[in-house]
Amino acid sequence: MADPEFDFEAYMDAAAMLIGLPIAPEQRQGIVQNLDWIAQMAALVEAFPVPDAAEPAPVFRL
Amino acid sequence: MSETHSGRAGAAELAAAVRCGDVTAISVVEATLARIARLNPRFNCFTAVTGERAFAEACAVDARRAGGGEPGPLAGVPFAVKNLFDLKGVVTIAGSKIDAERPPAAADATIVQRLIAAGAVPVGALNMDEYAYGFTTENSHYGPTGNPHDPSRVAGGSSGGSAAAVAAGLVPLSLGSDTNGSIRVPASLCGIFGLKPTYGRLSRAGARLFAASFDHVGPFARSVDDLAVAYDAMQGPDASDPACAQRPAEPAGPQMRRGAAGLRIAVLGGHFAATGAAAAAVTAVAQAIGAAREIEIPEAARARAAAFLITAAEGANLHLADLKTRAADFDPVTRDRFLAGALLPAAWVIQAQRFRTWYREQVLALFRDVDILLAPATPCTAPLIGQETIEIDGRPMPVRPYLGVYTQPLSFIGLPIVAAPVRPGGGLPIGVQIIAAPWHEAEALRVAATLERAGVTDAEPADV
Repeated sequence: MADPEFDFEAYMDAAAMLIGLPIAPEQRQGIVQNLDWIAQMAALVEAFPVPDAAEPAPVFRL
Repeated sequence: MSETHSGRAGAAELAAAVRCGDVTAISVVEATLARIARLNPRFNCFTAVTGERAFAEACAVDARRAGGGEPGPLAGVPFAVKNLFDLKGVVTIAGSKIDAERPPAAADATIVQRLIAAGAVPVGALNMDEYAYGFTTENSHYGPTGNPHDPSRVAGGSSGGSAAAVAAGLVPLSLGSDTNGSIRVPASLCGIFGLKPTYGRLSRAGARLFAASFDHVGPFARSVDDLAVAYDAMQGPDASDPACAQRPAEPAGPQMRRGAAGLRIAVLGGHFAATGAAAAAVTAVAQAIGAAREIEIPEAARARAAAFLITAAEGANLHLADLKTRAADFDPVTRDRFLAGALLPAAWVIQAQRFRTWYREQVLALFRDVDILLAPATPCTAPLIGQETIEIDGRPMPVRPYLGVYTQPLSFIGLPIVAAPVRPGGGLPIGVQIIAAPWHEAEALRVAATLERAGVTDAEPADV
């Protein structure tokens, strides 16, 4: 997440509405904290140039 | 009280005594249940004790022996399972309040069946973090599990009850699961051996999953031999688990006497360079086994980050229906993590899975030049129950996620690992990860057995 001002609350509300997930008032702060933490993890992963040939693991087999 | 009934006897020792008729399986079960009744209130390991079932299975073992039949390599050995494994007739709660409403399991999980077929006797189900999402077993529904070496400290998690029950001498053998470190972290903090086999080696059928693309199952014990006997009894393909490999069993037991000779062993640096007790434990092990070389796994910190993303997304997806309709019934400790995981952009998760492929190739390439890697299992010894932060290099870190810092980058690509317990300076225990290439569990077990024989490891039951 490049933007330190990113509005996690607004994202939470929009994404939760999209998938039909009700959020109770007492859950809001914890969810925002977790999203912020996971976004930092995602920033680490996204910053790495994965080759196009790397398929998502695990590969589905029949 | 005889040694076999004291809680100090290992699985192999008990099985030998039952097999030669020195003791009966029934008498072992009686002593085990009495010990659980006396000590479990202090540590809160068990969420269910299956006394009636245990007597029936022990009777069957004794009858088999009396009839001249083969009672099995684990004849009369009591064992217990993390409460996410199905035990016939017991509700599989997976540390949750929600699953406690489910009907009792209709059958045993595959690896439970295999242990019973080897003569082992199930005595109950063990506490864990809700749905395996945690490293401390501070479960709000069923209470925290105390560390047998100091009950004011956590047992580790998520298989905390499984590790603590073995460390307290309640059972010589238990089963746990490991998605990001949930066997290795509690083994480390409780000072016992744990084996997380290669992803796909042991069947997970009948185990409540968490993040399916990382979920492993495996045993805990106080000796490497016990770990190997149990592991061998549980191996083999199982059509009921789509991730279980179509590989024949490759018994580790016959290889245990080979020692570590010929194995190329290195210490992991970089991301895995530790301080304090964790560093002392790795140094002690490396010196004893003659591992002078240090190598680095590229991008291990990023691997940990990617494991976080995939775990959050897969775990949340699994529980999404309950998160939508009854989030208030989740443990407050795990609830908001699950809810956040349900909201992640797909691009993050898929990128993490693609990174995983790249990372696996890099790590597998390292194994051309080395057979065994050594790393700490946890960054510290057991924190206090309720402790929020721990100081690492002068900086406060949130203790719960940090406990998995050295385990997550390795389960991320399914490597087989033995967690071996060390007691640096005679203090609280801490584990060292003995990491092998995929499908080479026996090599990790050989190294662990060599360290055990050299007196470097210490898995003595806690003085309870």
